[in-house]
Amino acid sequence: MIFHSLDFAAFFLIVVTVYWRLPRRAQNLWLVAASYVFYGYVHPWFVTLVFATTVADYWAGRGMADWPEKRRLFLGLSLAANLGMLGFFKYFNFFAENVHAALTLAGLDVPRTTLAVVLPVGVSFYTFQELSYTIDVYRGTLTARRSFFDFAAFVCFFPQLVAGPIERASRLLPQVEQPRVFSWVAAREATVLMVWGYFKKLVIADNVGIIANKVFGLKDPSFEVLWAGVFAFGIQIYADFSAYSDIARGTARWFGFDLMRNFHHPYFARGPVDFWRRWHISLSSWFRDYVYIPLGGSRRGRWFTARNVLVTFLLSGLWHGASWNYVLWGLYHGVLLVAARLFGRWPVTSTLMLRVLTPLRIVGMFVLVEVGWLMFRETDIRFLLHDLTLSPWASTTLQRQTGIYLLLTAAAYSLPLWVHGAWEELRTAPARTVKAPPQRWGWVAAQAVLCGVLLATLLVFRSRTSLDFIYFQF
Amino acid sequence: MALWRSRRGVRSFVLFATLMSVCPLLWRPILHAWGPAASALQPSYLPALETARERYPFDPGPLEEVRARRPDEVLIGDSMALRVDPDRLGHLTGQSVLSLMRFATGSAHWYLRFKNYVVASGAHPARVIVFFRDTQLTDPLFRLTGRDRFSADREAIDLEPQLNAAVEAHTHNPWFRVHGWIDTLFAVERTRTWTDPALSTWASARVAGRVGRAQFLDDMNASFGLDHLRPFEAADMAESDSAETDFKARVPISVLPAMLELARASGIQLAFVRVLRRPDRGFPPRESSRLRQYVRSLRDYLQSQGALYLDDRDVHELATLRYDDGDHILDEEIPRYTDLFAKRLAGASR
Repeated sequence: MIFHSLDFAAFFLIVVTVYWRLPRRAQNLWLVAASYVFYGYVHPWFVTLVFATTVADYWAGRGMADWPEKRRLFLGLSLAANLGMLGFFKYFNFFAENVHAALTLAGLDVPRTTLAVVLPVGVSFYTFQELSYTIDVYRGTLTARRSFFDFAAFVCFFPQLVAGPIERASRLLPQVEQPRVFSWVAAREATVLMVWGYFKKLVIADNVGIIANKVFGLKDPSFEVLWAGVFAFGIQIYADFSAYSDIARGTARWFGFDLMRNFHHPYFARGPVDFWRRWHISLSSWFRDYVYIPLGGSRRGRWFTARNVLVTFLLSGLWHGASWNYVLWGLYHGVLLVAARLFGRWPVTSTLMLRVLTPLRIVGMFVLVEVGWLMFRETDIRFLLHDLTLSPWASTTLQRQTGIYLLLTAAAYSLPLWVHGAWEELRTAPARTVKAPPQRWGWVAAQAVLCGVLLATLLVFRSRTSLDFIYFQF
Repeated sequence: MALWRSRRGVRSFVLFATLMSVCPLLWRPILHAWGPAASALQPSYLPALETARERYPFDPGPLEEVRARRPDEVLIGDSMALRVDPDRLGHLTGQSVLSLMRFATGSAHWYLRFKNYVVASGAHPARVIVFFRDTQLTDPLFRLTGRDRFSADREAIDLEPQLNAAVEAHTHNPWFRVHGWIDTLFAVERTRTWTDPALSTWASARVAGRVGRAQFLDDMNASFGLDHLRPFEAADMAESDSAETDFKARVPISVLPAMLELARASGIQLAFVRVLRRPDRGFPPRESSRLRQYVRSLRDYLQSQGALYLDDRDVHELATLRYDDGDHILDEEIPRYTDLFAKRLAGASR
């Protein structure tokens, strides 16, 4: 089921109404049932996968608790179950095709073996969420849970099952286990998040997504047209993914859960390190805690640190998709981070100079991120190489005008995103104190009018072409 | 109950929800003050789908062309009909052939083209050949909603009762009713037809000035034409799902019976050609058993109604044609397809 459908609206109203009329234990059972309906709505067999890994990880956790001396074995079983399933559905064809290509290159004639199987949506998200549980239990930082249904509710909690945020067991499981209290204030804040999420998806992401799709569908785009398309894609992927996270967080809040914030205005980042503190926070912190730090982190000198960063980002790229362009994208960001660590010591200490230079750093980082998005979006390496050799001096007047037209259109659609970002950046700048939103009538009315304007704009400016959430494919 | 413990919370939520829901009503006074005059609105030819709005005018061009050329055979369909070269087919069959194909259309458009151009012309061609994919013939909403909604304006007259009846059978459900209420309450579609071109007008005027704007948009659209696009393997039409393959349930709520009835009354033979979707390594793509059952029922139904039915899946040679993007064949393969098609048509007519 997708968030931007009337089916989901009906589903949500029924589930939330029944939910708050049930006792806590029954609430969790109801959540599990509702989540399975949500996940299996189009392909019911998907439910068997999430159920199978839930059973495997529950027993792995119990095994580690009951037989501590065999912890390593149970962790191995959990890793094999989760990564095995991920590997089979997501990476088998990639692996088989590359092996076939290598053997063909070596002069061996072997038959090509590929699987015609649908990639279950969200498989990368919930397997990582489950792994956080078994790894934490293995490390002893989390106790293995006894209640299967509580654990199942943690794994399949429908608002974030398909595209995150990838919640940690240590954060979400206690919320599953504790009684939840309904709050009208939380319901109002949840609605604000959902309206903003729907606006970002249907008005911004889907409209600029059309531009990006058109440009990346061209055989031979000009320099200006290509980079207008890359700009549009950068807006699309951020608006689309952060929209999903906001709708997920809003939906979860209606059920009394607090999901982590997944984005913090990444296009206002001052550098590569700052960018990864703001972009897909739940995934980047997962890789930091379960890959980068276990590899040694920054403890063994700058070259080991560089190696660890590159390995982590290579895996992060591969997580996004079974294709070389994602690996390249991951490596590119790894290299940026290594370069920032090696050469990025900021020599300016004057506050005034820092203030003056900050906009330049933001723009510079945005340009670097856009180059990364070109690698991310261009799945065909031959086209990517061609794109990177385009010259701005080879364009015709029409191509230049087209590029500017597309850029203006994408910029106009994304304006609310920039305004919101700038407002929050200024509000939460280090010198200022972050205040909780006041609960006065005037504030409520202002919030309502703002949401009403978003809703009115959404009704009229939503794209006539509905695109899937990009991160569904991962 | 705990839910209602905080009266202040309830009151603030009610205030919030009410204000938020009322805001979109502002489109009405805005539209009244600055939008197009109410007299510009016309009752829709598909009231089951939408309320009154400004519409694109009927395009009489194809009607005049049919009248002028008085063809023996007419081709109808979306880009799938491009696989036949009408001049070559005419040369091979000794008949005059006219193509009325139009990109991004569906069975509703084909019905309208047949009725408002072919039959209305009085030219009485011997045969009208319709190219389609899988379940399109029993899906009147395909390309009649969403971004392609307005294209049917060009081929519809003031009243289209048969098409409206078919559409109503699909829209008579809670989802469409909710959609209709929202549309009526907030004047959504009316506002959209007014605001949709605004951004494009603004951006194109910034780039090319007020005078050169229209020419720039034409040139730009041409630069994104099919010949400038990469060959994509993915088709523009998804596989049919199980609900769409229930032939008995779908045929009465489609335009197919109206089309066949009209053909009978006008003495025109209809021929339906199911094109082969993108082959997989020289073989026709896999099909579900439900779709196979649907196709058998469709074939029996059409033949029982006196129409011709040709299925490209039945011709093994067609699976060896080279395809371009999606379900389109390469331009170089059009002559080969046309030659084969002429032979098959002659065989089927005997």
